[in-house]
Amino acid sequence: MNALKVDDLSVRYDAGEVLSDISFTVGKGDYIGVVGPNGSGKTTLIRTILGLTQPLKGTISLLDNDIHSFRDWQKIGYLPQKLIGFSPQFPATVREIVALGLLAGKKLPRRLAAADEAAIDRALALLDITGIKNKLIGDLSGGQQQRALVARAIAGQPELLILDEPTTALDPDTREKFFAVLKELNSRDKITIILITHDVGNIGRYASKLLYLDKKIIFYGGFDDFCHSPEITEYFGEYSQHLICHRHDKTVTHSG
Amino acid sequence: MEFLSLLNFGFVQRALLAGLFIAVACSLLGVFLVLRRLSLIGDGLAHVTFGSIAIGLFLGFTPLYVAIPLVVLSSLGILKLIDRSHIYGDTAIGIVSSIGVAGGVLLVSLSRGFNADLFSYLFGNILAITRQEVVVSILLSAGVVGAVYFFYQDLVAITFDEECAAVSGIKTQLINRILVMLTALTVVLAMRVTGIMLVSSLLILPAATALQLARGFKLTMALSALTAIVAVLAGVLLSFLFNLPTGATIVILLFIFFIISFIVKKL
Repeated sequence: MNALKVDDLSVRYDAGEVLSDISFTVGKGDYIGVVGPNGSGKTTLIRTILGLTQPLKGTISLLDNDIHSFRDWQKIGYLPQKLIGFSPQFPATVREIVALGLLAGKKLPRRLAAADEAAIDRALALLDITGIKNKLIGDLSGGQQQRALVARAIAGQPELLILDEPTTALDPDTREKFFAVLKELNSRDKITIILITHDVGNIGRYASKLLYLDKKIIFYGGFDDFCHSPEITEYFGEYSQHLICHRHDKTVTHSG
Repeated sequence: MEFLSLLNFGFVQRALLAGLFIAVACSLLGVFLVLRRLSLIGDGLAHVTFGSIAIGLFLGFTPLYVAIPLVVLSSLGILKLIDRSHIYGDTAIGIVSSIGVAGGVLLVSLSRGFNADLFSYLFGNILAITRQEVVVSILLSAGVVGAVYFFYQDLVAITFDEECAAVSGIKTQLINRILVMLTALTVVLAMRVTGIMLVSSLLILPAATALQLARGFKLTMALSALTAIVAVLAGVLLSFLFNLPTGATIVILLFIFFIISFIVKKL
């Protein structure tokens, strides 16, 4: 059983090809760290996987279903890099925002059931934001907003969680807690995680695999392979390789 | 008791009843439009309404029945322009609304004799609303409120973040179409209350007032509706008592409410 299978995927914008011949498979329970320079196509890859951008060619299968026939969106949690058109005046409380994560899979008029209230409480508690559940989202700090958005993404207890640079607005302490929460979701709840990050120094401590992207896949595999490969040293240079590898803790237990 | 005796007049009753329903429809939709930075779509569609009313009067049809389909189609045209031409929303609104005004002006200049009628549509005259118009206004307003209730979660989700809403399986294009079509309907209905020139005020001001005091999304919607209801009912009665233009009175009341909410927020 795969959480995600991407085969021979290419994406082209007006300015040119953004992704070329991408193929990789994510197993259920994997924790994938996606890294790469700015403009390397990381966000485009995620958007294409989620059906938000149309590829030039290639196939995508989510939870063993072709993307075109995929309907189980409640099994996918997603946190975009930035909210499009988000108004700081948005008058919803943190609780109301987290509740939006439970709409997938419900029939119109998508009313919440009693069990959903417990799911919201669980997500709030997991992200340690129960105390601010009645505050307006626009009144929160960047870090608190980000935690509320992650709580929304995990409220439906997804099988696959995709996060696009979620730690950018977080201070080092909150970032550390955030990675610990993700690790718990992965190891305890067996949620498959795909995390785009620039925090290359930390990703090795938590993720089970690394996908290095630069318009094509430069590397995809385990950290041990990445860190001990002479080819990678030659491609990235010792310093860049060391940045990713120096905190990779081989004792971390991965479920993947 | 002079004030209460006003309620015995049939035309006042009709104005209050129609105004009440239209106020609720406008104020609920207004919250979504303001948050999505689409406030000016009301103005744009009002300009199209001007052209549509001119067509109705020119051809001798009931203007309301000409305006409803034309303005709804124009609202979809604005969405198509944004989608297909990759232009900003305000530009698309500007293009469609200027065509509406230009068409209306051309028809007015080509004809003679309906300018006085057109004037009443431009500046509103809810006290002159007919029994048939009241029924249509109530039915359509109830439809708009029902649609907002039915699609409430979808509308909140796409207003907060359209991309995540799409990943939740919400048909974002469909919901966007529903939102602009409902807006088109309310703009045509609100034209009778405030007039074409001030129609966007019923969409924008109650929502802007409620957002100053917001403590949650549902509460904001309720507060927006309450603001609009009080302003419309008080505006109709005050305008009749003091012989003032109804639309302008309602807008001034809405503005006063906005200022009060602004001050309360700062306290």
